[in-house]
Amino acid sequence: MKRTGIGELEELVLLTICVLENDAYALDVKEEVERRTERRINVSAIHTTLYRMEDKGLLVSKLGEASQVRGGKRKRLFSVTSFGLKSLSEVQEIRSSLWSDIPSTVLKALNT
Amino acid sequence: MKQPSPPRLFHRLLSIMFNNTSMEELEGDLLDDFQRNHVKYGSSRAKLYFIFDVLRLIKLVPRSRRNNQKSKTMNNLFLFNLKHSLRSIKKHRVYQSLNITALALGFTCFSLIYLFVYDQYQKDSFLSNPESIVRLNVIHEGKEGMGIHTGIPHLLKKDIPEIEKVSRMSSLIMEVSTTGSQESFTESVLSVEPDFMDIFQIETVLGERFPKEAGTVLISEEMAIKLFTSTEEAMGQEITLTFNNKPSKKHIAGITRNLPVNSSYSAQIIGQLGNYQKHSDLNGMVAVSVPVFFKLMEGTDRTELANRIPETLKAYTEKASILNTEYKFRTLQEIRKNPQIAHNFIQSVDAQTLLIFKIVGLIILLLAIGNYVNLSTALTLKRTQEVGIKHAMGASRKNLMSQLLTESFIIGGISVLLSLLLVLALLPTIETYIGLKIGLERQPRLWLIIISILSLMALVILTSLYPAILFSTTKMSAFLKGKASNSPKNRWVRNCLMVLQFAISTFLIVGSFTFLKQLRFINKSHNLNKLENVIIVKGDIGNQRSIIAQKLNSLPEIDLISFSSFIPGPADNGRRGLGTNDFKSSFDLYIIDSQFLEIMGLRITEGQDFFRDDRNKTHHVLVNQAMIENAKESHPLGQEYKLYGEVPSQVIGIVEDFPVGSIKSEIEPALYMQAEVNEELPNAIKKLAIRLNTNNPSEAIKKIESAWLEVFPDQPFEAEFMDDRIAKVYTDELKMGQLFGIFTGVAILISCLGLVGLLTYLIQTKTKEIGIRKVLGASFSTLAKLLTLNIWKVLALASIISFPLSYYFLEDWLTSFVYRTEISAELFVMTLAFFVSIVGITVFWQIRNAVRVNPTEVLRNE
Repeated sequence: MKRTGIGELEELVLLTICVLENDAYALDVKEEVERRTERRINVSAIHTTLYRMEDKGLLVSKLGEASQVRGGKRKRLFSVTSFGLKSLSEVQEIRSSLWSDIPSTVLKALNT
Repeated sequence: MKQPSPPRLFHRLLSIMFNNTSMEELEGDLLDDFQRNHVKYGSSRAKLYFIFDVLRLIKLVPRSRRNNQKSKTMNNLFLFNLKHSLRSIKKHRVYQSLNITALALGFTCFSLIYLFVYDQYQKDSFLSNPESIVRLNVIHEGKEGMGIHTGIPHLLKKDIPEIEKVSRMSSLIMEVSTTGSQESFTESVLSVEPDFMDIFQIETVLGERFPKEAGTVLISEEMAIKLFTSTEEAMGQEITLTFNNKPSKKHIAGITRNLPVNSSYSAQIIGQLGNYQKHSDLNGMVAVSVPVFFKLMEGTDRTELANRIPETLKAYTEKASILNTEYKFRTLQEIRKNPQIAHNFIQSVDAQTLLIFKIVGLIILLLAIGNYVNLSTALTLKRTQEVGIKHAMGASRKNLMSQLLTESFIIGGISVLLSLLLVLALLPTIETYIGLKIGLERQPRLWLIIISILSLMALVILTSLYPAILFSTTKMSAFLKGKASNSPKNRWVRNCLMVLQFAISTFLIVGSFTFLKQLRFINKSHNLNKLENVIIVKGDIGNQRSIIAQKLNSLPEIDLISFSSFIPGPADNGRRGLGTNDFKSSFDLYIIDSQFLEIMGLRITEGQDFFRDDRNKTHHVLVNQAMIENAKESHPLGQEYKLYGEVPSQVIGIVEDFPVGSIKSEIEPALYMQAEVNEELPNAIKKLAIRLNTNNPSEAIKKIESAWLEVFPDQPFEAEFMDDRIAKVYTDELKMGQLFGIFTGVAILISCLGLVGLLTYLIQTKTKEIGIRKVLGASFSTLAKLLTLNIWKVLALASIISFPLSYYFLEDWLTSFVYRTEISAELFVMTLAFFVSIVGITVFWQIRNAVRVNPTEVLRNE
């Protein structure tokens, strides 16, 4: 099996960017992840993850337009690359194949 | 409502971290986040989160910097630089090898000289308080003497509380052998008093601390091993010390520890000082002088103490010769620096010589570095196109500079390593040559090597900053057009360096030749070459004079023989100055026969020679010209002096000076007595001078030897040529001169290398110009004139600067000699001609190469 090399936070962030229909910026990603996972995340953690994934080629980024809201400071907008999507789907495949192989006796416990 | 603000310090940090980088969005993101957190969690938690985030983002700083650069082509600094430097060194290998040779030679000379100088400075550093060890000298009529009346030292010790310890000392060169053995060697034997061991910190390994019995001596570990293989075995053994053919047997009472390698004095054999008790009376008729060493209390004012001496002595004597002289305490350091007041106990190097060497060392270093800067600047300008292209590819100024510095690092490293090897290889040779051991312990030696390597490297790097800045600052467009080399500022710097280089080399050439000329002059002056055929035989001739004379006169090879007590030349054992109240200072006393003056080539300048008929009187003596100055009252000719016996001696003639002494010192005054008539003096006859009239001296010497051994079967035959003997006086100066010559040679070589390199470079940059001119019909001579005009100007300017300066300094130096040569104009002309010919040959060679090339090949480029 090929190693995809995506960690948990990375996976979460990638998925979130997909959900946000690309061109997401760090704070949006942070809020979305926080809302979905109901846990607090530091924005610096999101930043390091984003840049790391950019270096790996899972994301691309561009600088957004300067806006009045942030005192003229620009945002960096991240989008998922096709390599990123592929990595995500690989991760999902592995997980679903694992899920499908779980015996029903084990799953019973989950339902009760 | 006022906006809440994050902690200011961290906000500032954040802006510094990412401002002007590709990750400037981080600042905005974090501020946004802070505002939201402020709403959500309140001020303090928001601040906490902010701080945490800022700290965590620090690790992203390298990433933001990395992506900031324009291009990644010029990024990988070290390996890239190394590769390119090696390539460019290889490409310009001719220049670079000139560079390396010049630097390595310069560094080698510099290091050798400074090792020598440093060694002089750290002499005796092991002594706990070297300042407090002094010798008492007397200054008599402007002349400084190192012996004082034997009675004085202990009187001073008694009366002056600042004097802690005192020891009179005498040192004599004796023949040393183990008793019964034939093999012997000469060594200086010290006779001292017990305090000596404390003053000079001499420790004992075995046996007694001081030779208490008169028949015992202490020897050093080194000496013990040399004589008896081990220190334990040496204890209690007997050695024979021979002085003036008188052997005396001594028992070894103790072994002293070897002195540290950096001690300026040596004490191999220490005996007890003879009994001077009977001469110790200050009012006695006979005054015996000995050198005396004192240990003073710490912090004593030496001058003040010395001035108090006459006052102290007033209680004991009224003699003017003791009270009216100036006394002076000389420290070890002062003695070390002045051979005039040192004697064989303390090794000394003339302070002036040391200074000359220091200057020469610095000059050589300066030349090497100047040469290096000049050549590497020239080289840099040759690579303008390379720089232009690199600029275009996005190399920053820093890149370019570091590239050049890497190159100089390599060049400097190679030269320093080369010179280190050279120094290590040459050091033993030079040590034996100048007869001075560089006495450094291993630890400081290692440190010295490390420090000098580092500092020389630093020097190279520093000096290459100039070409590096030049290399990196000139405008790119100018570089691409290849115009940078014509910028007037560069030319100015280069010309200045060249003028300096030439001026220094001219000075060195003229200086060293004058130095050698002066040495030769002294050898040649006063017909010393007449003495080539004269051999000197020494031994106790005494009453056998007529027997040996008869035997020798029958040999056809012998022209003339003469007997005397002394022969001019290096100081002999037992040669002693004689002083009386009629003369300012002591003088040499020669007892001679009637042939002596002829054989030595001395003429009578005033008065007349000893009478050969019945007018001759026992009390007739001759004096030399130096004696005229030495006489206290009137001209000595015809005067009568009380010297010897009852009848006063009468001076009947003045003899020419025999020009021997140290290279600088004045001629010693001398008085000549006749051997024929002074029957009480025959034992003083110890020298036999023989003039040969043959072309085969070795044959003659063999015959003389057999005749000698027939008459004196128990005395070894020791003969030397008179000119060798004279040469011995000048050995040190000759060696210094030769060493000086070598260093000058190196300096000249360096400047010539620089000259050749620079000329080659200049001509190569002008290949195109030459091509065009050739097409337009220029002749070889026109081209040569055009290309070298600048060099001639530089040369002329250098000569104008350096000739008067060298003349002034050399004239100043030469006046310190009694017999001096003149500075010749030819020398200046020759020096100039030498440089002109070097320039000429190089230019000719290079232009020939440049001219030979087909102009189309050069011009086709653009």
